[in-house]
Amino acid sequence: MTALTFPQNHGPVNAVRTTTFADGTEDWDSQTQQPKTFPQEQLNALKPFAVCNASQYQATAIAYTDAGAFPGVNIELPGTGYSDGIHAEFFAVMNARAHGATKLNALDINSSPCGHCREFLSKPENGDLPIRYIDNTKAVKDSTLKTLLPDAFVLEGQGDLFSSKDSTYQPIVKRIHEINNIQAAVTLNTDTNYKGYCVEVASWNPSLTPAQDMLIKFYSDRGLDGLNALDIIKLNLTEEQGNSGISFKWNTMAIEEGLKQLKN
Amino acid sequence: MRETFPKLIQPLNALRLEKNWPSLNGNAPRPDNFPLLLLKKINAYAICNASQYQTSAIAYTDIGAFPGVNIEFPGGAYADTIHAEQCAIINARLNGASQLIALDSYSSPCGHCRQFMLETGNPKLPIRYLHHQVEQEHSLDELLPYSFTLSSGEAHIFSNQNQGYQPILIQAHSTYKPPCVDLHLGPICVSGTAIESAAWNPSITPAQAAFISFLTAYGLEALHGISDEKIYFSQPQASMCSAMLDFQANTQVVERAIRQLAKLINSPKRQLKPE
Repeated sequence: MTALTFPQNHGPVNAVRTTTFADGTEDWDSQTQQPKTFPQEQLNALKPFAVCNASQYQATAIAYTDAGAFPGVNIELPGTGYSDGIHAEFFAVMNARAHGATKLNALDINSSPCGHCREFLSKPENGDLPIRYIDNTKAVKDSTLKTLLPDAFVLEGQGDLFSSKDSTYQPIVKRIHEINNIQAAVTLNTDTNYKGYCVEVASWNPSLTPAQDMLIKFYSDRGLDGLNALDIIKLNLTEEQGNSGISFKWNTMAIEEGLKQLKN
Repeated sequence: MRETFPKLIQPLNALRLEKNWPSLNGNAPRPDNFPLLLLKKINAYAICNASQYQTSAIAYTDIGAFPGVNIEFPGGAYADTIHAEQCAIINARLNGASQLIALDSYSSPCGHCRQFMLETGNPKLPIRYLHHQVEQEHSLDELLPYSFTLSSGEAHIFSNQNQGYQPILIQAHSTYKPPCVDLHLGPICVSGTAIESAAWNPSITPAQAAFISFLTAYGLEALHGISDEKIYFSQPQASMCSAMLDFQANTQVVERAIRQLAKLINSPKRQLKPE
């Protein structure tokens, strides 16, 4: 096996917030809570945090919310499959959710958002969400979600991922299987500060698992350097999914294996 | 596990032999009218215990039309799911199609599927679907404008059916060899290779591709009388994975899910409700 070359920066991703995401300047749009100028420099500065040994593609995003601006990068953990990957847009939005955001105002991305991410952001009332990105010709594009995902797939019971930030969010499964105490949470060792939960997306696959959510929380606040302070790495999954047949067991094991490899 | 899905367990491709199945007709690879009745019929093959949402698709290719359904693996997570559009396209590829000409989908294709379809090498792909009960037709580039792409040359899903399709990984890691898995189900053996999406997550794993091969050619009914230990994956080509990409967890999910489905098929209590 070749050595891991990514990430180049192992620190907490949210450390960049204190220096580069201050509002109140002349360039600040108080309505969307984002800079008027596309933050190319900040997006570039986030690139070294990307964990992308497999694709060698560094993607970055910034989510602007009622609780401030939150950065995100893509994460591909060694030892996991394509579908275990976390995109920069997911990271930024979930980072914001973990830090008290209740509304997403706008999103800036260093590349065109893929269909999987457009689907993740999609909900019926979200069509006007402003999205700025760098297109294939390196030009900044100013768009909206409904322009990027017309005739979006909708399913009855879709909700808002910001509505229950301290618990698993699986409105469709909960409704279909009449599960009252639906649960799915992952902790790292005995640390309950970084408890991860499931976030469901109506089209299923773009949903985020508890282990992915936990990883985003840990990486935002502690960085991958935080892993070095740990003697062992053990992810603990508790789940109660009724008769749905859904289980996060294998994804949790894959993420645990990936974190162990990163630590080495 | 609720015993409501799937409603039909015959080989999916048996539908292709029925007389109402669309056949290649000169320059018209697909029926003039949106085949709603046919799509509803395919819906009954969907494996969707978790979502209870049945959906279907038909991929029209240079060698005919191929059906697909959504497949949720019991015991797996959301991201292990195969969408109907992916199933139909992989079905066509496994059967030797070299070009995707059009696609009909029972419901509006989700963003994940639109992204996956970019790998078919046809950005102008005409797609018909129902959106809020109304029939629509749009090209792929209308449904996913300003799409995310990575340069991978002229290759696409259909350019070499005998190998896995992982152009980006191969370009990034010269020693990477696309893995291939064999799925054994009693006397049956089918194989599968990975199909990569430039956006990573919508990719199809080798185990998923093998399952699509099984479902379309043999159907869940072939699990009759097959015991647990006769259902397993073997890996004839272990992947030299310098990319550190690993399909092990997904392979486990699919293997265990097939064993669960076999239990269901072999349960004396199971009552099939043919439509």
